[in-house]
Amino acid sequence: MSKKMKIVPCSGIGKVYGLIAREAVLKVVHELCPEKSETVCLGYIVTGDKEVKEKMEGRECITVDGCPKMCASKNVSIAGGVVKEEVKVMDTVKEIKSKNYGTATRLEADGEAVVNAIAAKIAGKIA
Amino acid sequence: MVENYAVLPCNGLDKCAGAISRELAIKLCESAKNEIICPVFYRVAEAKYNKIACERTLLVIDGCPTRCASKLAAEKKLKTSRKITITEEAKNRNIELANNLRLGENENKLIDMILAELSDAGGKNAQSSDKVQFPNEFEYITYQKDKFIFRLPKNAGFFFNENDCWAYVIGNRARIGVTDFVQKSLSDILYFFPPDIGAKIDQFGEAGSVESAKAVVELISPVSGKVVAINEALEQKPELINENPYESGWIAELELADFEEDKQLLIGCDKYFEIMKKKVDEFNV
Amino acid sequence: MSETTFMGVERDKIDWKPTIDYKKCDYCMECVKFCPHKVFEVKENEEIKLIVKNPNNCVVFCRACSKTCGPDALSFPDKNETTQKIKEIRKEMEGNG
Repeated sequence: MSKKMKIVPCSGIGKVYGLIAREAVLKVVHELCPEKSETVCLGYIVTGDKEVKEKMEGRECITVDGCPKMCASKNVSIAGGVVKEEVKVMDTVKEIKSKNYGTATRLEADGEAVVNAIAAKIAGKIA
Repeated sequence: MVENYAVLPCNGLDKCAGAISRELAIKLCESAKNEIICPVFYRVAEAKYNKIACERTLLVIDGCPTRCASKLAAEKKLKTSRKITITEEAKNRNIELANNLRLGENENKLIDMILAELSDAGGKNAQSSDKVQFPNEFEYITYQKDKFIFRLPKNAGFFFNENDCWAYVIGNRARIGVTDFVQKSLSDILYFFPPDIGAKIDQFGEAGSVESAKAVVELISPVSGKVVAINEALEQKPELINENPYESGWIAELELADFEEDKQLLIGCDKYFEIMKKKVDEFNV
Repeated sequence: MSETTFMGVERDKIDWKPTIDYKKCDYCMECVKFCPHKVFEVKENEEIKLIVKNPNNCVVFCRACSKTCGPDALSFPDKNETTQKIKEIRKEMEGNG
């Protein structure tokens, strides 16, 4: 059984903040902390399959949500995961003010900056 | 143009095929009047998405055979008009996908190909968003015995049973009919007895029959489902089955009940081709 | 003319053949004329004049001869049970490598 911290972003389809959440998580698990973290697809978590429930049950997770609906945090809890940390994209967006973060499919430079800042915060919490 | 679709992709977070599923969905919704359904938010905002899903033609896109999006559609009892599984689309087109979340040349090529295909079907489909558009021309492999030529369509989506019947599957719909072997061994078809519209048919159940001076042959359905249409042209011109049993000579259209289950007892073009060749060689009349 | 396998399963493991109800059969022999696979055999000089001689020649899921039968004397196994059985045998075969 993997002891890695599970980092789960919201689906983030259709909005730039969702894309930021995803990109930040992928940066952490692939670049910053590949040894200590991994991600689980939220789309799979919500199917409620036996396999994915076993995978989540009682495991520590960090969720990353793009908007106040908090889909990632809510659904990880429902699946039995322990949300150790709720990261909200909007908190960091407020710190890096910009008129143009990008679109649902492509990040602009300011969007990238938010991704990097969030990824760094998450990495700090894992180490 | 592909319009008026509700697009339900899988979430596609951590696999290449998933990333393609997502990208395809977003492209469909950026460039035309289509609406995306978030597979995660749907769980909490059912009312909002139910409306979109029911009023529009539903396109379900799965990245991999875990089929998260299809499962969601089934759970919500949605009527799926078209279903795409990226790994299968890639296989059918001989495109090898990289093991990388950043889309490369091959991945983008696949997206463009699927977009073009959807666009084609969408154009022809403009009047009736509820119907699935079946292509009417196929590519064939052939086997010749004496002066007789036996054709078999090799397009992806064609499945056969060993009872010499075919099903062409698009999404949750299938057209069914008989193969050239049936048509040629009967010679001139004089009567066509269609199944009833609305009838539920089991896999290997009877879905109509055709009759020539030589014999009556039942169409033994390769798939299970409900009959939603029959080929009315055959009532006046059953000889269309002799002309081409795969194109203008199709027999009925079914709304599929459980194709994944049916598929276990179906074979593809290559395998049926071998069986058909054997039957043709043994058929001495 | 006989098929040796159906869907990869040996034909003689699949129970699919017509059963003649002799209380109904009037020996019109329409089924014999119809079936190109020589499933039936006529026994002119015996009391029972028609038998199912080659059950394994019968095409699995074909029921066409019963349509030619006026007195409705021909019956077939349950199609869904046969389908299930074929699936089971295929699973076993996979299990055995």
